[in-house]
Amino acid sequence: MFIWKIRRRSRHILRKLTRGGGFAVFFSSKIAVALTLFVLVMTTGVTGFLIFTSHKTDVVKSNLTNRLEELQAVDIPTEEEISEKAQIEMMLDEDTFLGEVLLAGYMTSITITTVGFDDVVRDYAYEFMSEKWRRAYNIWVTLFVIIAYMVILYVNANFVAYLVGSRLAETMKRRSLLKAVSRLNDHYIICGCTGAGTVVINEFLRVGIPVVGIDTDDYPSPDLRKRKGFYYLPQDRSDEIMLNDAGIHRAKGFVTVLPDASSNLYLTLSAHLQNDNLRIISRAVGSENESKLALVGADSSFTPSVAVGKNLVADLLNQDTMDFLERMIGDQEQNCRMEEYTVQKGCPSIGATLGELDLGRISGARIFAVMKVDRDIVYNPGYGYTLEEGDILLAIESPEQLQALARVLERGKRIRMRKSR
Amino acid sequence: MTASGNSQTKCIVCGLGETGICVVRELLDHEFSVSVIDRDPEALERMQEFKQNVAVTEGNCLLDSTLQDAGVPDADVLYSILPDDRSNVFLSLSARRINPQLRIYSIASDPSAEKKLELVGARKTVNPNNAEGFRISNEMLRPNVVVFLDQIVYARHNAARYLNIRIPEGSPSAGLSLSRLEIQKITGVVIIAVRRIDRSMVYSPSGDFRTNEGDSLIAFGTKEDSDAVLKLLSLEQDRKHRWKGVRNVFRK
Repeated sequence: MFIWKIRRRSRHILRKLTRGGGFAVFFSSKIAVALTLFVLVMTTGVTGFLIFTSHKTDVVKSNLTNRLEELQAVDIPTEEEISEKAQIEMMLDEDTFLGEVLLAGYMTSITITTVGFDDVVRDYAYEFMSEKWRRAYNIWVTLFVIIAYMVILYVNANFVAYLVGSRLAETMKRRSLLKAVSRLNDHYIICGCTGAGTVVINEFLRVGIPVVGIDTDDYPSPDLRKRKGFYYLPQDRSDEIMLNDAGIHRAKGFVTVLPDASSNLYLTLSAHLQNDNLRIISRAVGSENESKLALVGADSSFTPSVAVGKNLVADLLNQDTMDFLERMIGDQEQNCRMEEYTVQKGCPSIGATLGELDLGRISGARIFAVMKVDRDIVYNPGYGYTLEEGDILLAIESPEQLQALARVLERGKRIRMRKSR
Repeated sequence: MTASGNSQTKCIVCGLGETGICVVRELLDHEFSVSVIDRDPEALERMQEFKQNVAVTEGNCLLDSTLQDAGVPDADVLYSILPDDRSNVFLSLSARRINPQLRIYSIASDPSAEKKLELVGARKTVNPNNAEGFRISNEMLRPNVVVFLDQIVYARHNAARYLNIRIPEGSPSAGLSLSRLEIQKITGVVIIAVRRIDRSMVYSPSGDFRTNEGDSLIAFGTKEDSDAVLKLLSLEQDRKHRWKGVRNVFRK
C-alpha cells in the first residue's frame, strides 16, 4: 500500500518534471545539482568498495571450494574431515552479498565524510588480494578520495548556502504565515508597504484591524513587521496566487499604493475580478489614470500630488481646523480620531433620542454632528435629536470609545426601557 | 476668508512639479492671486491652461534675485515645493530673510527636514507620505468623515465652522466641571475637545472635566453658537439659583 503510494507519487513528480522542460528547471537550481552529485559519488563509492570486498569473498570461497574438492577426493574421510566438509558447505551456501554492500556503504560514508575510522578492506581483505588487486585498490582509493572530497565540498557549500539563504526557513515561515492569514476575516490588503503604505498600515493597526501587506520589491521597515496584526507576504508568486494567499475572498478592503501606474492598475483589476464586494482604493500615478482605475473596479482613486496640494492649500483656507486635526493625528498619547458611526437598518436605537440613549455618559463620545442620508449636516444635535436610519454620527473618539458607542447603539432598546421605568 | 479677501492674498508657488501644479490649481479655485517660479520653461508653459491668471517668473528660485523679481517682498504666502528637502530648507530660509511676514508652506519627505523647515520659519510642512496615507485610511475606514471635513475646510460659505472659545480670565465659570456648566443642555453646543493652557489637548472631555482660566473649548458651530457659549461662561455664579437665572437669559 505504502510503496504503491510512493510509486504513484514519484510517477506524478516525474511527469511534472518531464513536462515543459521540467528537468532543465530542476537542474538549474544548484541544490539539485549538488544532490545529484552526492548521489553519484555515493553510488561510485559503494560500487568500488563492493568490487574489492566481494573480491575477498570470491577468493575465500574459491579457497574453500578447492579444499572441498580435496576433501571429496578422500576415499574414507575421518570424522574431523566430515565435520569440516559440512562446515565448508554451509559457508559456501551462505549469502554474503548484503554484508558486502553494507560494508561498502560503511567504507564509502567514512571516506567521503573524511571521518576515516578504519580501512576495513586493508585490514581484512588485503591478505587475500594479489599484488595486482592491491595496486588497483590503492589507485582507486586515491582517486576516489580526491574526487569525493571535492564533490563533498561543493555539496556542503551549496547546502549551507541553501540553509543560510533560508529558503527552507522562509518556506516554513511562509507556511505558518499563510495559516495565520487564512484565519483572518474582514481584513484589509495593502500592496506597497513603504512610504504612504506605512502610514496607512499604521492607521489600520491603530484601530485594531488586521492588515495583510504585499510588496513587489521593497520591504516594510522592521518596526512595522513586528506590529501585532500585520502580516507581510513577500511577493514571490504570481499576482493571482499572492492575492489568493492574502485571503482576498474574505477581505473587506484593498489598497494599492505601488509606485508605478501599471502595477496598480493590474492589481486593482485582479482584485476586483476575484472579489466583487471588495472596497478598492488605488493610487493613480498621474490624474489621467483615475478614470482607467475606475473602469477596472476601483471604488476610489486619488493622485498623490493632488492630496498633497489640497493639504497645503487647506491650511490657508481654514488654518484653525487644520491645526486642530493635525494635532489630533500627531498626538501619540491620546490616540483619538474623528470617527463615524452609521446607524444601520434595523438598529434598535432608531427612533430614540440622543438624550434617551445617554451616549455621552456611557461611551464618553461626544457627538458633534450628524450627517443625514442626503449628506446634510446637523451640527450640534441636541439631546432631543431623534435617530433615523442611515444617520451618520460624528464624534472624536479613541478606538475603544467607538466600540463602546457601537455597543450602546446596538442594544438601544434595553437602555430605553430602563430609562422609561 | 471671503472670496474678495482671497484675491488680495498674494501667493507664490516655487517649483512646478505635479504637486506644484495641483497647488496652483487649488489656489486658483479659491481665487487667490498666484504667481509661480520655475527654471524650466516647459513647466511654465503648462501654466497657460490657467489663462493668464498666473504671473510667471523664470529662474532659479534658490537665488535671492529671482525671489526679488517674483515679488517675494510684498507677497503673503510662499509655497516651497522643490523636489528635495535641502532645497526646500534653503528656499524657506532665503524667503524668510527677504520677507519676515511671509507665511511659508513646504513639503518635506523626511521627518528631520520637517523640524529644520519649522526652525527656518515655515508655518507648516506637509509630508507627502502622511498626506496620502491618512487620506487613504480615512477614505477606507471613515468615508463620511472625509466628506464632512471637505465641507468644513473647503466650502466657501458655510454656516458652521471650527470654534475655539477661550475661557476669559476672571470668568466666574472657571474651575467648574463641564457637566456643571451644562453648555450642551443650554446652548446646544457640543464641546469636542479642550485645549489646556499648556497647549495639551483633551479630546471628548468627560462631564467631570474641570475647566480653568485660559483653557479653550473647541467645537463646531456658527458664530452665534460661539457667542452664546461666551455669554454663558461670563454669567455670574450663583450656585443655588444659577440655572433658573441662566435659562431665563436664554429664553429671551
